[in-house]
Amino acid sequence: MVEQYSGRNFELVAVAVDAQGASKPRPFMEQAGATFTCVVDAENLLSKTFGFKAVPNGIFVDESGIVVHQQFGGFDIRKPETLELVEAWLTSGATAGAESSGYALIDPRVQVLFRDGLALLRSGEEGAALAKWREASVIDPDNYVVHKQLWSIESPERFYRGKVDMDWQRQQLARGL
Amino acid sequence: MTTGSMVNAALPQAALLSLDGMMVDFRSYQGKKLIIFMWASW
Repeated sequence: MVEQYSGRNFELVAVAVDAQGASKPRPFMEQAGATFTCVVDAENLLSKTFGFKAVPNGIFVDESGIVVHQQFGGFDIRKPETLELVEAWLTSGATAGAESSGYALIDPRVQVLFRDGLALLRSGEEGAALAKWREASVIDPDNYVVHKQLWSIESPERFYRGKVDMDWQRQQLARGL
Repeated sequence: MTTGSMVNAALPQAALLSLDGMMVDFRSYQGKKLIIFMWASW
């Protein structure tokens, strides 16, 4: 898609949301042969700024720096409806018919617990870090940005050996973990 | 709970490190259409 629209005054920036830093998303981007800019949001900065609790998401910003559309959840460029929306906006500027997602309030306690957990993780105190994030998950069980990062460190075999094990994740949620 | 939307508002100031270690400021793309795609390997 990027190649198709290159030269049309368009940029795509991919943001990998990952507290573990660049080492986790890098192989995925290399395997995909990404030709666009890839950045890492290790501190959940954009979750707090834009108010989302899950990915994948898309935000459209026009030439004057105004947000014209945001879709939180299900923004998958492999889906025909997503591709259609992107193509329509890039070619005509239209986002008609596409309802933008609302802003979710991120509980300040969750933000603090995530931040404190990240500091602990970076200082090598993984157990204490995960305890903070589990506390955050109890406060906001719908915050998958926290939930999944917790799981990915606790159970990396469910995430980084072949496909991400979505059945296992559903079982975790059903068990309230 | 949802409380509104950033649509029709200016893109908030935000800058993040690229995989190459370069700081990327989203506002530096002003003058171009920009799609910010957020994803995760988890």
